[in-house]
Amino acid sequence: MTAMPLRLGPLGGEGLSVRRSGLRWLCEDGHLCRPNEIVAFCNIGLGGANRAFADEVADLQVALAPRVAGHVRRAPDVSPGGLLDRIPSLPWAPQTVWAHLDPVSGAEGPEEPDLLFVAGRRFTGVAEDRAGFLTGWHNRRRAWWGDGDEGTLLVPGTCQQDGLIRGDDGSFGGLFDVLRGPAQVVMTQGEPLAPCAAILNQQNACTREQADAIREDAMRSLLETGPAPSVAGWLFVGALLKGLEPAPLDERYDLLTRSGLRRSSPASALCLSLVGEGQQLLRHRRLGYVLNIYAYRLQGAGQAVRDWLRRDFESCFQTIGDIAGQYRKLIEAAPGRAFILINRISSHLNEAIQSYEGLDDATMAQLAGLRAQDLNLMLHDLAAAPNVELVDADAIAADLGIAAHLPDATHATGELQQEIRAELLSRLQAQGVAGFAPRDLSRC
Amino acid sequence: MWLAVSTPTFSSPHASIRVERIYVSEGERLTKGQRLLDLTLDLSAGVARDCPPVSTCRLVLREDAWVRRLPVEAGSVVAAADALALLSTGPDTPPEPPAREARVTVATVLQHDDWWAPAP
Repeated sequence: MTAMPLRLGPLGGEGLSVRRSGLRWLCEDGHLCRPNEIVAFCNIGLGGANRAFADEVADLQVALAPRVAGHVRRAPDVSPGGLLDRIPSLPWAPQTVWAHLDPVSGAEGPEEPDLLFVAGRRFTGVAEDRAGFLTGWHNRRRAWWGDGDEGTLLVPGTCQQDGLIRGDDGSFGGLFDVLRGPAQVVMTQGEPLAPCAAILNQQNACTREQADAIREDAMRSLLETGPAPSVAGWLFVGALLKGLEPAPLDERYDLLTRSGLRRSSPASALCLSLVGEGQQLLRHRRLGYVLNIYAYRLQGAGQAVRDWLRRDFESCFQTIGDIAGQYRKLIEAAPGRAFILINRISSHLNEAIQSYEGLDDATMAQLAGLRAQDLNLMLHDLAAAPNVELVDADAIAADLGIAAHLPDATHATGELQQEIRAELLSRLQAQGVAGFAPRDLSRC
Repeated sequence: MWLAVSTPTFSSPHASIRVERIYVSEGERLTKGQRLLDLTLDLSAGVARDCPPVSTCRLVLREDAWVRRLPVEAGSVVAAADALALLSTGPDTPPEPPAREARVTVATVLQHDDWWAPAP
């Protein structure tokens, strides 16, 4: 059998100067790859005066995926090593042979690989980490593939969704492998501000002037009262304020494809998870904005920051009705989009409740499992709308087994994530979200 | 008859368990449905990490009884099967080895108080 040369192929279209770093490999030499499995990647830089990827330009990468299964043999001279494998200093030459493929029997396909593009928007420019594929401290990560602009899925990221969307290795490979595209997945990460419907509505409505007022008020309060925060505290506050900045749902994104540069349409689908819905938010006493912070994040924020939160914020309880109202507001704010809602896993491994009879009102109000089930019922009501789909993670987890797949009651196994991901994709396909149809692998 | 309330056996043998709050006191008469105590359950065995799997379990009595001994206090670290309370079916039942475990419900509850501002 003849080894097939794999060439980089064109990128960016006429007139766009594209440069690349040396290739870095995601597999061993001789690895038997699946069709569309990413096996190598490089950093990308765009020459000329264009302003595309303005806030992502430092962390723009592309991964290479042979279109058919076979053994990948690395080409020499495509990876000079060192920093040259991290800096886009080499010209992107379409004819470059970057590997040879020994196809498995019967497999055939083009010499040009499919390309998975990724871009990360850093929290701050100094958060540089080029150690790997999409590594670093980013408040937005996105991936796209295919030559066009069809569908964009926006996912405000919780820890649950990070594994669900980006996969075990953080590469988005679990989606790229199976979806035909052209498609884009945008994942935001606002921690220490955790995403929930109230926060998303707030970000969608926030103006630059309001964000400036919030920032100035926070700085004044932190500096005028008590000891100044530690360096870690300032970083915490900075990340928090960054998360409060405007994030409109109709945002568009730069896309680089084989044929050129384009701006994507706004997100055509949003995926939200009940995991982010805490029972309490913090509301600013004067400006009225809200925060949603996981308590454990406050441990490292320092006393000055905790004192600021106690002083300037009040805790407010979110009823199921409050959360439903925020979801409705969000859905109404984005007409014509598909909403995929993931419910909450309500089973608790360490519970032994034989009967609710006799439990006092306070305990009934605090039962985590009941609240989760009430939230899940609320999602069922929302899913009556034609553009809303429900992913029943609760049922999937129960089916696979909580003890085996949610052993610490919080973190899911890869198999559970994979099952929920498959259901998410089927719901996107049920909504007809363009670009999210399955790949045809019959000839690979 | 004396009854024992013992620390439940949770899913992980490495769980770190702490008595968070005690709702009853020695000599008190308890009725079915009454809260006994809350346990903080850390399934990471107290190992510092992101997103620690910490929950609160509430023990609720499912039968009437009197509190006779409380060998733990708020903040006590306990292990599975450790005694949390000794109860009796009558107010003056003479001390004796517990005949059985008291019937309790173990419920995972959400914390309401100052969840956002843990003590430093």
